[in-house]
Amino acid sequence: MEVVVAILAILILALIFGGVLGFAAVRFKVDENSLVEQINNILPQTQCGQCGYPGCRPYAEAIAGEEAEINRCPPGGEATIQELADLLGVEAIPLDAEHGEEKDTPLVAYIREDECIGCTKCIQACPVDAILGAAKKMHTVIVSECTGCDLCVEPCPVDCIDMIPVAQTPQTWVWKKPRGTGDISIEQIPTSPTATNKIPVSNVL
Amino acid sequence: MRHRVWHLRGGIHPPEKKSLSLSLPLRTASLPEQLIVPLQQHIGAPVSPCVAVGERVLKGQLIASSDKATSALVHAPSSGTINEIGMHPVIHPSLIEQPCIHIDCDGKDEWIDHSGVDNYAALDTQTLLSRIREAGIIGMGGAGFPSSIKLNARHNQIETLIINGAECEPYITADDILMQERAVEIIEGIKVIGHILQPKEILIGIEDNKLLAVAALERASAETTIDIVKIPTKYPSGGEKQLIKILTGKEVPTGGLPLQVGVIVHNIGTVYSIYKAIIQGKPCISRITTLTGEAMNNRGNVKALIGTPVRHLLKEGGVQESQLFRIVAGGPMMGFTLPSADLPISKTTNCLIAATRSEMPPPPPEQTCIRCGQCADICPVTLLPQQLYFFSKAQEFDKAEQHNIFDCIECGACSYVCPSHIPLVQYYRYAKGTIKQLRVKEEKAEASRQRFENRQARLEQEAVEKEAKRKARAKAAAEKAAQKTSAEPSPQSAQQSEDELARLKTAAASTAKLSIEAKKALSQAEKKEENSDKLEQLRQKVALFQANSDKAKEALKAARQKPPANTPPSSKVGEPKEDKAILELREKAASTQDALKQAKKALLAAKTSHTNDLEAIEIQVNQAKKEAGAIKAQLREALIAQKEIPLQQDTPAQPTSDTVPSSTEASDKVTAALARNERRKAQKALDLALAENKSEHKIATLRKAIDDAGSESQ
Repeated sequence: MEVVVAILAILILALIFGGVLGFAAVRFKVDENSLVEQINNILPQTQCGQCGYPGCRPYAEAIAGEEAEINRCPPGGEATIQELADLLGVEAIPLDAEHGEEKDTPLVAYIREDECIGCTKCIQACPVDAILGAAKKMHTVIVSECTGCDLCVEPCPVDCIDMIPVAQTPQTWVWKKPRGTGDISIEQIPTSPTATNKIPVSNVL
Repeated sequence: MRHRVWHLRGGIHPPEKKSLSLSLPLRTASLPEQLIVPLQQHIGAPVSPCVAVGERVLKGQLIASSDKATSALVHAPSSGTINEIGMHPVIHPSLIEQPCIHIDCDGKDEWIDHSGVDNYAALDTQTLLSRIREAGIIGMGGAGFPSSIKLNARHNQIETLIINGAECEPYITADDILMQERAVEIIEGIKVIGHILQPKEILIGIEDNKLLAVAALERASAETTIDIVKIPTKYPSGGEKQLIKILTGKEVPTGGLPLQVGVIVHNIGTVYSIYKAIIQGKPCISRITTLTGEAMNNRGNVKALIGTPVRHLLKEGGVQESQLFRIVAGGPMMGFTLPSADLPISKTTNCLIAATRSEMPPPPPEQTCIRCGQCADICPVTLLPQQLYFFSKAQEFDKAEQHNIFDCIECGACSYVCPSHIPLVQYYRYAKGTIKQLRVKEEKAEASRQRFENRQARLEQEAVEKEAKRKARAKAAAEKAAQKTSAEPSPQSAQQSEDELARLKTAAASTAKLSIEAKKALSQAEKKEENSDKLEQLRQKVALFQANSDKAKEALKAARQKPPANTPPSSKVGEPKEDKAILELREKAASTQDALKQAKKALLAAKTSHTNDLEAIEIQVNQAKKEAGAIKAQLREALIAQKEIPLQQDTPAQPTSDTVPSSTEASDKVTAALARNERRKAQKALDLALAENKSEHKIATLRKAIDDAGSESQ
């Protein structure tokens, strides 16, 4: 009799918990797409295709499907790899050099307009529609929309597209990080006010 | 009745050094030879110049404007000729160049016609605000926000108007001297602002180390309701939010504006500028700047024109070059060392310090944080400077944001007290800037994601449309073909034949169905072992249906085979033969180009890996290049030839107009562009060869190649 009671009790408990778990599985279902979405949000959206996929979203899908490593995005660089590693709970790995190197300064495409023959090839190549122009008319880049992905340079038959660094303005300028401790050896610590000369007067006046 | 003063938490008492610049009265700086007026001195939308190079401008003439509300107009500080409109470094720690208007002063200092209003009280708020905007007035305390926007508050929204005369930062005495010498004008300016805002009370907050200024203002404001409040001297009591706390006890919420607690704060300098704009009709073209520091002989406050080079003002202050160690713009706490003396002053430059080495020595090296907590004790915003420092240093920006790094006013008090000499504020500035940069990046990424997705959707839609069009075309072509075939062998129309086909199809299907049903019935009957008569009947039926169905099927087959057998081979027959040749050439060109690219890649790889068969690969590349060139040339000729044929046919019929570029011109352009391209490539190769010290023979051949390409492109 006791055995029956025990089995019944366990059975009832199993049913209750099964029900709760089943409800939770339906109610709080983790959408596979939301993972793709999260990965896609981390990626820099340059749409450059350097990862080997035709855009950031396909790469995000590949990562979510565990088809691709997380270290194939040169524009995102180490920061993106770190974020992806945090999100996916995997080890951060160094950037795969096969897919390119991380650039220090953001670039933007520039069309030398007097040399443009109006072939529209760059327009077709641009993944974010940042090039304006028409057949046999001069083309130009919308600087604010250009992601600096490089994809327009290759198709240009007259080689009139340059990748130039984005000009800095006081609004985009950022203070440098201080050097921090440890850079200075004990010999370099000034003992008199003349030991270091940070701003030479000759430069000032 | 004495106004209550609230206590400000934290803060420091650095050496004031204000007496350095208070021994001499306010004077006017001499006119420099050239004024360099920066166009972006404010926070907000940029302005564009509205004068041309070579134009003569009068003092106070508008030289740059914009119709955006958040922009501040710029006026000529003196009369002269516009020498240049171009980029020049401005007073900013980055030394980044910004658009500036250079004016060669003619020394006459000739004013443009201007007039103030006698009775401002008769004017409505909007008129006064537009006058303030037209005068280009921005917050002169340091932030540089356009004043007309700050003053544009809803009626009854403002409880307290605070005039900031605290001037808590060491060395600076610009507001002090202004209050001492222009007290009447300042009170008049406050009345104008009071008329615009209609606040319940007006307070002037002045630190109790400026007794002369307090006395002067008290004399001037004797017959008004303006309350002059002496506050204890403490740095940074002159910060906007700190002064609000001291004078009203209210705290401005995180990320909020003083307006949210019914307070508005204006600087003494701004008030004086507003007085000049409204009462005298003069735009904001000068400001009071403190010239101080121990490396100066002639220290004091000067009225300097906007755009005066720092070098000129330093001479004005009698700088001793042998003593000078560094120049600081702004105060010693929040200012920054200028990297050059050739920068023009802006509307927010309140102080220039020419410091000796002993006065402002180079910063001692940063040492490890010992967690003494002094920074947290003195932080006037009650932040946790240590935590912010660790997060900023470790680039954990999200945590820094959670610890309210954006509430930091960068007053520098924490750096001042830090026994380890950690440049804390530098870390916060770095973190804030980087966070802002990341936000911009995120916004941009979101925008490009959207653009990419929109483009993807558009391409898909285009593909679908194309497919639909193609299908429609194919259908039309089939119909046409059917028409043709039916027109020749039989008079039936395509429609009819199609109907016939459909009819046959249904017939075949129905007969097939009948036969199957019959078969089923037969098998059932066989299973049930019914009498032989019925069975025989059924068998006959099946045979009949089978025959019918076969017939129908055959008919359908025949009908189906008919049209394709009679259609003409393809619509391509009419195309000219040249096209085929060109197509072939194109394919060839593409393949050779590919080969060339591959060869080049191989060469590059070989070069980087230093293999021995470099020569062989080079030869291969050259060969591939030659081939590609030859085929390209062929293709080009063929293309030109093809283009000329229709042109020759066209010319007699319709004369080419001048506006439309003829196809020969176009082809010329293409050839020229290609030649230019080749030339550039040759030039690159030459540069490379020169850089690598290749043999003279090779360089000579390369030079020749460039010349050839050059002549071709012409």
